[in-house]
Amino acid sequence: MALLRSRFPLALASALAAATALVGSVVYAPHEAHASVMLTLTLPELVDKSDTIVVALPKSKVSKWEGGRIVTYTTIAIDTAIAGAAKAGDTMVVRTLGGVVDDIGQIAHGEAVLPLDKPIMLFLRPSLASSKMLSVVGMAQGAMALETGTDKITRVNPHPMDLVLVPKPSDPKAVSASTTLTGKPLPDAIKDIRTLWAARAKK
Amino acid sequence: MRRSDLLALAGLVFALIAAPRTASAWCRTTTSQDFVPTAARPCDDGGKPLYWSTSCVSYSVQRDASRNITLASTRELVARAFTYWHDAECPADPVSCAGPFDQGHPSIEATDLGPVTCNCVEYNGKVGNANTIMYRDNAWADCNGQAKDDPDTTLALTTVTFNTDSGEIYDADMEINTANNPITTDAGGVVVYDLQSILTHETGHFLGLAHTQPANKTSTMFARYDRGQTFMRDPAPDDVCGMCAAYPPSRVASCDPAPRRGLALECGGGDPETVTKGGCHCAVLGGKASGLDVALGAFAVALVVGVARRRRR
Repeated sequence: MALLRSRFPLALASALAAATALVGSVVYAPHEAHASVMLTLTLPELVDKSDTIVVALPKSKVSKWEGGRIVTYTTIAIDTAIAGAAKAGDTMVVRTLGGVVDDIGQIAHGEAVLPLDKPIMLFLRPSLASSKMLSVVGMAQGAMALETGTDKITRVNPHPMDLVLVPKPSDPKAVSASTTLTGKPLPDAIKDIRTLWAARAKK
Repeated sequence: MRRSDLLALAGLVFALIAAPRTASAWCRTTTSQDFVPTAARPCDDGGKPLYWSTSCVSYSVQRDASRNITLASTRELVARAFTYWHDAECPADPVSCAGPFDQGHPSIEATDLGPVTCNCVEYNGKVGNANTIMYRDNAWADCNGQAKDDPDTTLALTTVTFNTDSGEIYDADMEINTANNPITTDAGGVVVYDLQSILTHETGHFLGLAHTQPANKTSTMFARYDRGQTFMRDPAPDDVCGMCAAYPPSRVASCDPAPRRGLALECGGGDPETVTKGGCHCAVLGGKASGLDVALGAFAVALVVGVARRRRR
């Protein structure tokens, strides 16, 4: 109380607290696109494992029972084809675990979430469960939300904490793809991905 | 109050609001399907939180266990994981998560109903179920052999089935990918991917917790685990607060450990609309349950119900 009665200490305390909060917010800001318990994928690995990389808009989804699991098929409209055979204007179907059928819901912790009508960058490959469908590489690691700020710039904004990411034994300091791309303007992110894609093709 | 004081006070208020939450950072899984956590909104506040309505949920370990981890060892580690959660002492206010932690235990405990044959992740709407913990030793695949995506990067996956109107959890199954990863127990003397840590984290999901906010890096429900680490084995105070918020000690709930629609040792086929008993090719990895297995399972349920009733008296 003695401190708060004095004008200067109050101002000083407030300034210090605000500074601490700001620093703390920066330090503790989410750096990772996390999921259930998975090994971390770097951006080059995510590109390597992908068959198709796009910016898309999820337009509709259908969930159904497959055995005891609920599986969701999301139809996406391709806005920008970053790499692979897809073309802008194409539609594709992505298979993810979990969903809702009637009043039963099922969540597979760590799976990619594709909210309808929200632009998203997707790293895709043919699903091992069904070759006619696509799946998201690395579950939530391969689904990166995009957000357009007040400056009209669209940036990559991956999910911060939907996966438990485990560094690979071979490369414990590997930086996750989401960390690499977080906050990056979309054109820059696309350029980086296309560079990696081209390098992959030369291997 | 002078203008400079007002400005200073406003700064203090801002600081308090903007400061990262370190005391209470837990989140609960909800019924929302499209929720994507962000820095600004790390926990979902739109859907209904998931919860078990009973005070004594049950689980079963798939009887084949793993080539490298025995059934007995698995049962012991899973029991320990659930015990960590139940034995925690709750604070008076789990939301602020301030001590003292002396208000009793979360009103949820878990009971091992014995091994089951079924090795499928499934929820059956018309026949019995089991909340199963199972290894995938041969391949990261479903019980019918259908390959699952991301075999080389997934260590474990928990699938929770719930009622979308109420948030009540109906079923939870946990798969551990031993086909592609060196998952270890203390028995080997070397910690690689620590099974106890994975189990305590996944049982947190099983009971309805989501990942904690990134501010709290030492929580069991933190969304990053490093090779060789063991800190996730037992819940941190923040994890305890989440569990106590979900299951307050004062909660009035009956004890019914039977899985929804009763314990099923064999797979039930899954689809609530067109259930075909035995239709999930369980024999591929698990084989059939014997009559003795069924009788023992039923006896286990009866025994647990009896004990729970005696405790309530």
